[in-house]
Amino acid sequence: MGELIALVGAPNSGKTTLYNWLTNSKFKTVNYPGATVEYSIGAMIPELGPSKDVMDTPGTYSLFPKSADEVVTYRALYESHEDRRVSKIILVMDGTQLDRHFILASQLKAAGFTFVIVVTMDDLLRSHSIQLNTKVIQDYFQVPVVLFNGITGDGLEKIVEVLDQQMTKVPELIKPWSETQIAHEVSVAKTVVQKALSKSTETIYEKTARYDRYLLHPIFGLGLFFLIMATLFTSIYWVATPFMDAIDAGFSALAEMTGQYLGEGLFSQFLSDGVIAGFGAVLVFVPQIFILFFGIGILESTGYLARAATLIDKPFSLLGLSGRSFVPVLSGFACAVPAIMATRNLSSNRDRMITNFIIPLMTCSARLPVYALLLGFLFHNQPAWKAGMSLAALYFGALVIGSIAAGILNKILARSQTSFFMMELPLYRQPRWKMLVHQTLSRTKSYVVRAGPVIFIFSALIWAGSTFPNPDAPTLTERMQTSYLGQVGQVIEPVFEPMGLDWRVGIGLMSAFAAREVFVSSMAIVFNVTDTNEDTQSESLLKVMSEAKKSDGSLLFTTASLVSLIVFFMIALQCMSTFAIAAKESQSFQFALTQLVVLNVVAYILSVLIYRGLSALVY
Amino acid sequence: MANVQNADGQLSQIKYSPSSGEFNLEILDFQGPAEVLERLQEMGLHCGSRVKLVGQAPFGGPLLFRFGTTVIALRQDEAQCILYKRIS
Ligand SMILES: Nc1nc2c(ncn2[C@@H]2O[C@H](COP(=O)(O)OP(=O)(O)OP(=O)(O)O)[C@@H](O)[C@H]2O)c(=O)[nH]1
Ligand SMILES: [Mg+2]
Repeated sequence: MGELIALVGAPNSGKTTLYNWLTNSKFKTVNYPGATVEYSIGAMIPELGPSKDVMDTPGTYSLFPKSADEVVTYRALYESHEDRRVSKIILVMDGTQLDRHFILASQLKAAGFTFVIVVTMDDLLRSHSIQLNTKVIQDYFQVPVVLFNGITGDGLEKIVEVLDQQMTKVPELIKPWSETQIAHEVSVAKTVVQKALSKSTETIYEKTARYDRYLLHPIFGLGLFFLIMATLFTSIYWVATPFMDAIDAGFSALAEMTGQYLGEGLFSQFLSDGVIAGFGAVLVFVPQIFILFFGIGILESTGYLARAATLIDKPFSLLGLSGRSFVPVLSGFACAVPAIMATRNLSSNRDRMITNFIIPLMTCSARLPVYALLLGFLFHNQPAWKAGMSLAALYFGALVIGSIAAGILNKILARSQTSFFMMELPLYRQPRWKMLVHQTLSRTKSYVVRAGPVIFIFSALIWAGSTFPNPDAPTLTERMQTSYLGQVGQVIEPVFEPMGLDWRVGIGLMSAFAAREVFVSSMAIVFNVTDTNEDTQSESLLKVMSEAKKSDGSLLFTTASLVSLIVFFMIALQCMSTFAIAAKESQSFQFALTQLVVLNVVAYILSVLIYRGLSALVY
Repeated sequence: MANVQNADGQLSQIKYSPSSGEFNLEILDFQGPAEVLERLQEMGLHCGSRVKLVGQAPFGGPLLFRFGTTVIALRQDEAQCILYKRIS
């Protein structure tokens, strides 16, 4: 194994960007201090020189960690990984923040680490005609200093070259610095940086400051915040619709072609009614997921997230959260698993726990197909804007439910630690569109790849379960009722009856515990199989389901049962990966189990109550 | 420490009201929990630093301090750890 080089530096200084260049990786770079929360190790690309491994670390302000992500970096530097230790460090300093990032260099020096300094954002310095005399800094620390442009990669070879010239020393632990020591370092930093720069970097911030006059304005700022969130949530529906229609048509055609090509027979049925129907039902929603990821990506790359966190800090703090909870909560709208990891960036354990508790309530991308399907029923044959607005309302609804849950926890949990909010607001940056599209595509792809096998297995199981042991029964209804799935259905129906649902939806709800989107594919198969006849075969799933009847002959999907189903999905924690990551990150199995039980029980009770209430109102 | 009147040259805790607008200040000292003071310094606020108070987030949210190429948002609680002198 080659030597291990760690990238270390203040938050948002450009470590992950440099890591991607060095290892040809595609890790997400985000214009937000605290984006990376876990270390990752990758092999340096061979063209750059002798084989070595590079480690990206979470940003840290000092060698004295104050949040879980900083602890990751601290341990990365002082502990061994796969039986080897970090031998050299690349200290990453933002060229526009040199005086603030100076102190970490002094600490590395004092601790006796072997390091070289890379000054990023060279392009920004150049475009403001600021020259940096690296020799001044080099002379002070007695280590090589290299300029790096994260956009073009200029400086990459030089970094590896100077790194290879360094001899490894063994570092020691250092004690926190005294007031006088800090004062001394600060004044030195000021002098050295001033000498190194041809002029002050202050002008670089002017444009950002101008934008912030509006974006952080107590009134406009708040209005824009809601506008931005509303645009994100509504565009998921509007922008995606034409693409969804195309995919839908494609799958229908495919199912029909398969049927024609293979003719009658069980295998043909398995493919068209099972696999293709199951996949089609879920893949239809991929455009919505793409738009959601893209929207979040824009927010991430511009630098707005740090502003949003600042704007929301006061209201959030009343709920026992921190402004820094905003980013994990927002990424919970994509997926709860990375979102729960992102709470490492919070300094207070109490804030972190409350944030982790409410993240699974956010509308993750796996819920999106479910909502879109259910809203499709609810507003069947009605203008599209109604379903669109309702979808946006469900997103805001998730925030409301999350706030209520946080408020309750905030009342129950003992106040142990003081929580603080100190946030630096990074420069606004242009999104790099090509990279953004690329990143979004790969995130969307991994969503499909992750869900794919589960959908396939459940599609096969549900199709087989509802077809056998009587594939040749005289009527389809009889085949279904005598099937294995039908028999299980009889047993579980009493549980779902109070929600106004029959066993078929019950089966769907249970399969959703494998992955929420499986609910949609299960529904597609169960209803296709039961209600198929010559006339409705080519009808859309929506039509088939909207006419489905319960055993007593009444309509299955009424306003009451649909709303109760939506509420169930809003609250229930059906994702086992979320359960696992919650247990791991909180280091408490009890926390994760409590969360799992509480959210599911509350979901069930609420949806029963809502069904009862609405049925009473309507009739 | 008592909340001394904000007369020039005297130590004051930061209490911001929108009507006071932007103003420059010099940090003279800190008081408060050690962890907060350490982090304030690590983020670049030191005794003798000159910073500009440029605004506040809605509902009495975090205060915004600008110095050089940086703006840092601090909750009222943290901002009050800063003892300052108004310089303009
Ligand atoms: N203009 C310019 N932007 C850069 C450069 N390097 C990084 N950036 C941008 O700066 C932001 C932060 O970059 P990252 O690489 O994610 O920073 P990081 O140090 O990994 O940040 P944390 O993981 O939060 O500690 C991103 O928006 C990058 O696109 C550079 O050399 N020039
Ligand atoms: Mg990073």
